[in-house]
Amino acid sequence: MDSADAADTVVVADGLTKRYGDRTAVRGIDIQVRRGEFLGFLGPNGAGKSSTLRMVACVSPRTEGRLSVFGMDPDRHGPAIRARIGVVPQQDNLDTELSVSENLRVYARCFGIRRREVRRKIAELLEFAALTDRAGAEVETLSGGMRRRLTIARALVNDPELVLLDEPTTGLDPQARHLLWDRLLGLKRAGVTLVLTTHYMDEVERLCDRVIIIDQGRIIEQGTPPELIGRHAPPEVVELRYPPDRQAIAAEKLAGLCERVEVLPERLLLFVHHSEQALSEIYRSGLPPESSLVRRSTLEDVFLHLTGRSLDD
Amino acid sequence: MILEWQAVHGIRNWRGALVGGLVIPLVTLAAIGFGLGAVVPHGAVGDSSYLRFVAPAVLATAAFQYAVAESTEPVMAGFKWQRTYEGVAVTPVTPRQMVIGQLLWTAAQIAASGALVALVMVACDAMEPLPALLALVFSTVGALAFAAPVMAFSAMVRDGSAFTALNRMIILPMTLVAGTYFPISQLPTAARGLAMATPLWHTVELCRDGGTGGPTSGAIAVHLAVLALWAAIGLAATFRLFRRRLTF
Repeated sequence: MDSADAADTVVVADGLTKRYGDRTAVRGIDIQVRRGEFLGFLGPNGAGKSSTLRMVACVSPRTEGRLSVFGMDPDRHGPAIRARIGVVPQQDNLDTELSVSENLRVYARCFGIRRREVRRKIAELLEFAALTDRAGAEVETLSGGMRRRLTIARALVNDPELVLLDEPTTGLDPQARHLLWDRLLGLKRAGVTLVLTTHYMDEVERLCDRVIIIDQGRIIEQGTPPELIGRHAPPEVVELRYPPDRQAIAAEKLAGLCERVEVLPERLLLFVHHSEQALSEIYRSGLPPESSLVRRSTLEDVFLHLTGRSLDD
Repeated sequence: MILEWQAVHGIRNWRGALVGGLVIPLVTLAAIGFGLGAVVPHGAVGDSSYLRFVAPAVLATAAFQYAVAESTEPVMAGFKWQRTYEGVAVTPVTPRQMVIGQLLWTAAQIAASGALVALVMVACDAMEPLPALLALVFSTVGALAFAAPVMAFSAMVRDGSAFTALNRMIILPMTLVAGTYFPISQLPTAARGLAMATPLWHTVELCRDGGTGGPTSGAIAVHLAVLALWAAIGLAATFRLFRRRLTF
């Protein structure tokens, strides 16, 4: 990679590997994160998302492979890299005995930000997190959504160029999620590079420029959300319900009408190009379902197709 | 910066700190020094009164208890209960700096509360001013040397019940036999060796005799060397454990 590329690439990983004893969490993955990009990591639990994020955040030494963040090696320049990163952890780790603004203040001081600057920064971040009127409240008394917002605001005290978010919206109500999404898109607009892990496909479809799907420590697919859907799922899905005794027969007979059938315990999923046409053919075929639902294919269909439907954690 | 974080904590919890740091040692001084001292015949513990014998030890013991309190539950909270250490680990602050910051804050608190205790002791004639000042310095140094291995212990264990065991099996017995309330010459030989290995005994000896001009500088050097050894081992272990638990 030449130097012009390097300036535009925030994270480069080649054959990045992480082993914990006998268990291999990350098996030689290659990643490049471009400046200003919003990248999403999707993967089942234990796929290696968090381990990857921890290595990029310089709090987990890599076992093998090459890793460079802002052109520096995390093993040698950990503190210098961390000074330019913001991390939103999976679980809040705020100091619950301190107030909202005290949490921001002590954290800012960990980055060596000057006291006078800190005061200005706190006001700005309280505004960002919509917590100005709770500035003096102890964190103990905040709701889950407020804590999450504070955690995200705290990750921005150092004006990071790269923000790493590990499942930032898990456990939040819809209002809080939407507020967070707007804040994250605002950061992207401001030129911040964002890397996010999540289980929520709608989150990725809405926020991310690019998605990397990892399973069992390997990258199994990547691209923009529309690219992935286009590549792995016909545009529309017909979900059908049949009584248990007729489902197998229906699956067999209807297979010819669509590109792919997925047989679930209580549903048949038909991936088709034209749902209207498919539906009328289904009714003509003499196998009327108990109920039917037509929808657009989503990233979730792609994800389940690629990583399998079984629970393997 | 960690120092500042801790300081913000400390300022919020000053009432609790005052009770732990001041009331307990003063009650001990009153009960043991004045109460028990009244029934101990003069000359039983060297040529001073029992009150004067026990006062430096109360100061040292209070410092140790403070050190234990600051190096146990706050460490567990940092790793597990609140995970605040994880938050700090992603800032430029290194695990090593976190340990040093926390120990410095502990030392500052011990010195501050010890100063108040020493002041009261001088006021009620349990200590002379200069020896009290020296005892304050020695008790802070000794307690800090003990805080390091306790911190390592806290970073090693996985839940809070270990602290109860630590207090019952180590801290309380040590407080009772390390030359605090009676000279260790009263102990059976085997127990005496054990008492002499404790950092508290060395600290008590320093606090008791440091200001009287009695002991040789050689003895002081030996006491300090033993404390330094405790501190060094404790610190090395704590650094290691913090790094292992925060960067894995």
